Amino acid sequence: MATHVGDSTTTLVRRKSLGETYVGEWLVTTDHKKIGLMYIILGFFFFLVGGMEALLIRTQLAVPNGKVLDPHTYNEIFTMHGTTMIFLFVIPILSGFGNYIVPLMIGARDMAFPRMNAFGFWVVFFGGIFLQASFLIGQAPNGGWFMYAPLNEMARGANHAFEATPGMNADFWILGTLLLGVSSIAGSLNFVVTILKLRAPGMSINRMPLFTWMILVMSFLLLFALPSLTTASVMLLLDRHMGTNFYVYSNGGDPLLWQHLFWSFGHPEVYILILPAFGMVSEILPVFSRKPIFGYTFIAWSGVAIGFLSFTVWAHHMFAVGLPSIAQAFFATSTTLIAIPTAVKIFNWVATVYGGKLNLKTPMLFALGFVAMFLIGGLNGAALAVVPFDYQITDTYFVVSHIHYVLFGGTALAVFGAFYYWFPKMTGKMLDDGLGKWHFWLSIIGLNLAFFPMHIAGLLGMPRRVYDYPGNLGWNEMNLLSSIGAFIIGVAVVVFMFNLVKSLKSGEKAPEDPWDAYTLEWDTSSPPKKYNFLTIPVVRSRRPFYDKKYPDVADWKTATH
Amino acid sequence: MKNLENASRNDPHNGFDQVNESRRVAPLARAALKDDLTAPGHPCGTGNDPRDRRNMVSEDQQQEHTTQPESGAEEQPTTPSEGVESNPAPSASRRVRKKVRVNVAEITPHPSIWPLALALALVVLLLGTLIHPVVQVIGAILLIGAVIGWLTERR
Repeated sequence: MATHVGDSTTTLVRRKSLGETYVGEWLVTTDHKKIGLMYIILGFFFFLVGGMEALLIRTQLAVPNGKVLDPHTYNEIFTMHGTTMIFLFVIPILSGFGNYIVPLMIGARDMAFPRMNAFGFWVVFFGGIFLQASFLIGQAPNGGWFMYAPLNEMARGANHAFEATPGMNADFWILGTLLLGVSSIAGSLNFVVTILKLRAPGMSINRMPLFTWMILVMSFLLLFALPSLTTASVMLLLDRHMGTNFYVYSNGGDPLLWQHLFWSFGHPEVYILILPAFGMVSEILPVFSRKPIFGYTFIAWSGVAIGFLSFTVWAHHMFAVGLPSIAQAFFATSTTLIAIPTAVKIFNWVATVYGGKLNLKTPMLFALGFVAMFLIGGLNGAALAVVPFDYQITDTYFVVSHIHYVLFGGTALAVFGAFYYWFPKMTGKMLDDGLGKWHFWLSIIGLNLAFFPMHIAGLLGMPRRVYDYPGNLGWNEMNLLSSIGAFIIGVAVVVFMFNLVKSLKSGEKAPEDPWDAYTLEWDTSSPPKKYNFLTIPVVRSRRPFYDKKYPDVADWKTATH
Repeated sequence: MKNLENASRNDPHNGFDQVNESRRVAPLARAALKDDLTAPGHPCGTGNDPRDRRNMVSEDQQQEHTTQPESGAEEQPTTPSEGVESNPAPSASRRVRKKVRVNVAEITPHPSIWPLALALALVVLLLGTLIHPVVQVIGAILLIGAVIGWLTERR
């Protein structure tokens, strides 16, 4: 504090605290909306990084005997593409939407633990930098996003010495994922407590918005799945630096232990990545169909069923390792079973849209695109549950196609839909609908062109993770199409970024409720005030804001829930 | 309020769940609910719900209750710590002007540097595993400092 003493008066000038400067305000914030925005910006930044890595991969594979990258760099690029997209794009961006929207949706003023919320963000921020910084010293992770043993081990052993990953590549991956795990645990705990304890009066669990439902299930999945990855990673770290032999076969360890531990995290992880997308779509479809969601209870509880079943399917990633027949039968059955609750959701979404007064704005297009593309991803996933078929196509481009239909055709389309849907609430500006439609159609064309031919390449025997391929195996056309599709997706993303910048700079001012929506987040100003709600709203049905706007036909007058 | 609870306790479809819910929300939300419930003409648990016709209130009152005063308005609490806000001017004379006082400093979380500091310390600690034990020690010291700062911060 500085004191200026004049002739006759004394003026006290208080120095600004860190939280009062523009940058400092973001550094010290514990406001869920700001943290949510930071998550979203960070996630989108890493989406661009992962996308550029994808374009490098596709450039390398566009023609036979490609020489764009050297083999070592190629290994690093495809490993970091998967790691970045899963751990640094999808999880943070879903957390971002959850952070921003869930407290508003449930009528809370903030998350239950605001400082822990900020901590979770900063850990993922530094963890992301930590992982990507490995490129700067030429030691980026290079063992695939699943970092299989024994490739993840250092060269060691008297009789079975092998050169696996002697550098720090795997260490960066282990420590990076440990950090991201800490962030996810902090975030998940926060979501669980917030959703269970801070709902507005009257919002029983049976009246919660479906996005909130899915974030709740996702949080429980993270809490129960992450310890497995953490355990596996710590054991690997001990193997590499402390001389233990958990995964070293020559010294009595078992490399398959890594696969079991990793996939018992990794498969729930797939549902962690897709469940919030289900929630986003379940919010968008009814609003743009002008109908309540069809089968609310089935959609909500099928999410819970998927959550439970996701812990019973991990070994379908390991059919080819020689599991006993009984284990193969069990995991094939459980994997097929999980298709049932997933199909329940799809039927309910179709029934929601059916007979509705459709408003085909950009968010609705993305939501409909999600349903169609996720259906393809789900169906070829069910094919992978068939053991004899899986033997033939395991570790081929068929699997790559499946995961991309689920995660890009599914999660990414839903995230883009959510961007268009909630952007007016977050920024007070509308995104341009015309550019949004360009973005949508380029994405749909690009992703089908990129990922559908991978089915055929996989069936023709093209293994995943190959650096190059000879020109006489019949894969050339499929790879060229995939690469063209990838670049079309790149153009779509450029259109989206242009739309973002244009709309933020000179976009149409958003009203508080531009979509005539149903849930509480639209019952505040755009963007919302720091305290969200002046008085905590009282909820009487599943569509509280609809009730308020249309009291004559309010849901609570007729609904039994 | 008490009468409402007693009368409603045995009927699961009369809105009593809304009162019950208030016991499970944060104290601030509970306080806000209490104010609302005790306000004249509050429809919670009563009102026009066909499942509970014991205490009918008009739709105007329902509308009045659910209107969020901040919607579309430029109002902001007059000082960072204490604000006085009122609902938009009612169009119908029957509507009751309700003043809502908001203490922004109390109902919103305080900023804090410690989450950032703790995350940074954690990264330095793990980085030490790769680089040098000295870095690890520095990370551990930073971590302890950040935890102490977090725990002793005045909220």
